[in-house]
Amino acid sequence: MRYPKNAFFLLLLITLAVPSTFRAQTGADPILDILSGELKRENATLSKQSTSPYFISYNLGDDQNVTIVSSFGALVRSDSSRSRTLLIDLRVGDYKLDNTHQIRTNAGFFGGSGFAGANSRQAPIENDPEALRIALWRETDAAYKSAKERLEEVKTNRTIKVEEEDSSADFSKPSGPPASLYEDPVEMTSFFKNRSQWEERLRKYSEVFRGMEHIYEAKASLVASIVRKYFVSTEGSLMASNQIYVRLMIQAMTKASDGMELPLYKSYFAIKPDDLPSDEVILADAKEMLATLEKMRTAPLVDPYTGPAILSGGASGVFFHEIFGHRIEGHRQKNTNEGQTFKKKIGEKILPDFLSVYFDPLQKTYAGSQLMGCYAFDDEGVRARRVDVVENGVFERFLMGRSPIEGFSESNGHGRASPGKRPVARQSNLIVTANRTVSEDSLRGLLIAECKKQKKPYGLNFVQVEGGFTLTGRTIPNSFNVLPILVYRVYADGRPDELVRGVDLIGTPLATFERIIAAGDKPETFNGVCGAESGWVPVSASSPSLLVREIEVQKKEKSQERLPILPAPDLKASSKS
Amino acid sequence: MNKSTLLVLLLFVGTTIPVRAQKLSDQAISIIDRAMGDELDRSKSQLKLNGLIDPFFISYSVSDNHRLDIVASFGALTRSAFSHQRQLNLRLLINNYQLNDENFGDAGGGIFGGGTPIDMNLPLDDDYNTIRRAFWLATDDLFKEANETFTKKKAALERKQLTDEDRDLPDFAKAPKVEVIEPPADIQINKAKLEGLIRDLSAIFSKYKPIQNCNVSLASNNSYLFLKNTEGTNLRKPETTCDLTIQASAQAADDGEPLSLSISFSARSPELLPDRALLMEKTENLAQSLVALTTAAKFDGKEYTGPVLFEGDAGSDFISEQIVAKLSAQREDVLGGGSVFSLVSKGPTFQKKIGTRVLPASMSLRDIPLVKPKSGLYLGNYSVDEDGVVPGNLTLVENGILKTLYMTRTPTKEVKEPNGHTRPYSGGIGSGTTAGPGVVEITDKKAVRSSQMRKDLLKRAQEDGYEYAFIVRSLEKGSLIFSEGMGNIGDMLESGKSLSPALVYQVSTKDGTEKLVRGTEISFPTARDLREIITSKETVTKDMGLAAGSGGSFFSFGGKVPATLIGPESVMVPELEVRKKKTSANPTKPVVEKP
Repeated sequence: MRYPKNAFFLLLLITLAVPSTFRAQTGADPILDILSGELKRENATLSKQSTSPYFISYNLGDDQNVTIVSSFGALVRSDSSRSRTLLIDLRVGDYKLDNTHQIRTNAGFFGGSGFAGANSRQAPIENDPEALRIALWRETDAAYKSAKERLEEVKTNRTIKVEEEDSSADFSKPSGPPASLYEDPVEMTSFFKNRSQWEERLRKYSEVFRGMEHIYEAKASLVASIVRKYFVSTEGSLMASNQIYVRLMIQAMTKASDGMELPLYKSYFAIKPDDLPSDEVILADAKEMLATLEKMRTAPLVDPYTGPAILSGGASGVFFHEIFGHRIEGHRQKNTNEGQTFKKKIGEKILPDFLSVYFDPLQKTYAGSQLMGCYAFDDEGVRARRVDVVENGVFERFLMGRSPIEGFSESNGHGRASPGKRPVARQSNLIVTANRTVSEDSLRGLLIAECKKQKKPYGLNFVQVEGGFTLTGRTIPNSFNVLPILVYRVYADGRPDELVRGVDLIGTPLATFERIIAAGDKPETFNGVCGAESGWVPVSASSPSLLVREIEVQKKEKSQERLPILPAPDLKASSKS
Repeated sequence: MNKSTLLVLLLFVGTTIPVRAQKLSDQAISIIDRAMGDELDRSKSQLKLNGLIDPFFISYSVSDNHRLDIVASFGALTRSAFSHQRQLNLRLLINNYQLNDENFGDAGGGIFGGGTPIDMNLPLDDDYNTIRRAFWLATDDLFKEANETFTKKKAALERKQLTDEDRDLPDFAKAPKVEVIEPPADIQINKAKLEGLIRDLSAIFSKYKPIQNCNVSLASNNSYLFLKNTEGTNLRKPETTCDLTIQASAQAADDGEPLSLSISFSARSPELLPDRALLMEKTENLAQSLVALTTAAKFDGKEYTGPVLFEGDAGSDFISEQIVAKLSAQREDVLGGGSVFSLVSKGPTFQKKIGTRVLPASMSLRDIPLVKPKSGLYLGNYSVDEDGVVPGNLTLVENGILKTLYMTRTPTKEVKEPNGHTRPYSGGIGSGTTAGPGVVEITDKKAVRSSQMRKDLLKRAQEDGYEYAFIVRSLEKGSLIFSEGMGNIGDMLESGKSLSPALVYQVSTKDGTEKLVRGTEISFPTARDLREIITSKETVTKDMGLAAGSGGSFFSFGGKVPATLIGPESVMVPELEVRKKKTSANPTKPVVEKP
């Protein structure tokens, strides 16, 4: 491992609440004591059983949420909720082979991954020691019984199936001292004030689209989320930390005359409500969206095309997150149902040598943008750290949780999950850097030059893409699907750029990577929430804009529904109210 | 953790939420009403397209719902949340009453069936334009869908040979125009007080070590329904319900058999639930019964085919599931529109038994939704049903003979006219409307005193040669619906059809002593058994969720219709088989002792 350990430690000291006062501070939050007390009591008896757990952890997620949604200027939803979800990871066997080991089945529609089973349950939302202890007791008992049963299944499965490709252990041993972190609880009522004011603001944002012909959907939504994560384990981890964000999103949709639905999104992330942009900025963006939608509606339909393209910084970020990030999540390299595109690529060149990629959960800002994938410890109690996955084009390592894979026996602090889900390796703040850049103008020039070289009348400029989805499985085509929303034709003969609609990007990741030929000098950041088997986690992706020598697009499938028969009842021209 | 911090926290939770009134303002009502009306008029007069068949019937409804959910376990809340939703619902039929796009596939199946309503959320703001817009898009969608479904239905009609009776049966019944405007219910919700109640009820279980899990949940709904249709019906009425369920589980001390008991209370609003002292007492009794059950003897499995007495909750549940649920009419799907759910058998009903005896000749059953108690209202009272049809006093069973069935506006071969029994249901697989009860009144000229019934029970058992008889005081929740309704699936198929009693007592025929036993199941009463039942003179008037009908759509399974039962306290079936429950291996007992 080549991490600069000293610098890393220094960073941590800044991030953490001072560890020496840890004990004194937990008094303010009794949950940790209840969790660790019950864990101790359970383990005392369970460790005397003939099949005894070698590891138990309690993950309690306290989830506070406010959701406000408006549509065309009217409030459609405004509510708050609180829930606490308990997840128990109880392992019998040993680090090498335990109850979470994949049970191999014939991969098929239902074959799946041989669910490893983790027990998740609703816990009291009040700090009542007795009720919480009973819940912990009941769920630990259930977890213990199912773990014992599953270990037997795992052993049988190993006997009847061929030797595994990857013989690494099921759980990595802890490296370094156990997690110790305490942050004070944050109540939603003090974090997110003036709810009615926010309701009013959200009404204003979606009202921009009100009475507009051809706009079929227009919503402004805000989610304020405080997830307090408690983590205790038999390895001595003791942690209470908060994951907080506010997300505001505007979405609107028009339809072309052929029925094609054309959505457009704009989202804003912040770590506190006051950090969101002002009304002026958001309203201006909404108005711009409205103008863009009108252009999209009448834009020509794209033709199938193969040729050079520019991916904007935001688009590139999503692109890397989807087609690269998800494929280097460590645990996927072990699951025999996964495609494992990069498994045998360690030490090989997968990107041009001027590009590097790292993930850093400790980095809070990049190029002037806040990053949302930050945390000090991951959800398995492992310290967060920077992971350089691609250095000068060469693929170096995977993102790791505590599920080891061939050649990587340790976690690098990327075991993440939403409350109630079993953590797996997930992304944090993805950052693509280029050590050779050109100005955005020059990049455009290079695109035109490339068009001429390839004798193409135009290249494509992908300005905005929707966070897509990626299928990494083995039984389904190993392709990506990032949904381009805003795409322009850039003509080689100097004609003005032209918006096109109905673009569907196709291709395979490795081939696309090799064709990157230049990078711009103004990185952009895309903040979002990423969903996978371990739930939704906040992430970010930053990248400069990239010029790709060849990209393949096809026409998007479209809805066959014709436009509504009657005009909208609230058109401005004929408004009744 | 020390007690003082706990106290501070609880106080904090308890005092932050004031009493909340949920009444809709006059202005809100007028805006919603106007937006619905204007868009309905526009759709009626202008929604046409060359090549598509015009709608002949459109109905719009809005349900403005305030809901409060509180759940607690062992003295602490696990959930407590208000929610406010406005749902729009619409129905659009094309062609004509005789032949339209409905009754093809599973009625009420929404996206799974054809020509059925689609649900959407409306804005919470009283915003005329946005409400109209929602109706506009939903109507457009439904109009196109109805035409698609109708085309498929016509093709199916050409493919299949139907009997004249099936062919001539209209798809939709006409109903007279109705104008009923009732004000919204004025319900004050004191959330903190209710949280306190639910928390305290659940805390009772903490005292009992053998109890492993418990859940006390309260759901209070305050809805206001708007309905308008192209026949000119205009309806506004409040619909309020409050359900409290107390449930606990444990394992038998010796063999680890999972044991569970529950009780439910329903009323029109939280204040109308039984008072706190009574609820506490009932919960305490439930806890004690469950603890007693953990050490109760296992039924020895000796052959028993004799009288069984259903008392208290078991009595009303028996009536709900075995009698009332069988009275809902359902249109037979003769075309098989292809919905997977239409394949699921829905168990026996009385549908084909009109004119024949289904209950003892001494018994009659009426539904009297307009008859009100001396003060207040029954849960089952309503003046107009969910289709805008006015109910009357309906005699369903007279002197044991089945006269009619609960009807919606969809005709069936047995009954063709609606009778005002399109009722809301919820709590099952889905929620929606179904043919169902309101205020059920059961009378029996030959009813006997409870004391006499108990004597009869013992005498009959003795005559049959048994040393004991059985009294059932609680039935497992939902066991009736799922074991009967889905009787053709998986386990149910193997274990046969049976009732799962939760509290069963063996009563000695010699000295009348009672012994709690566990591990029994009871055969379902057959049509013949139901004609022989004996009821008690003592009656109950009970607000409860009555089973949404084995004849309803797939989604009404397990659902309950807010209703009232005025009927016998206990029911005796002269001959049922009590057998040893067939179970898979019991789970082992907890390894670690309960904290």
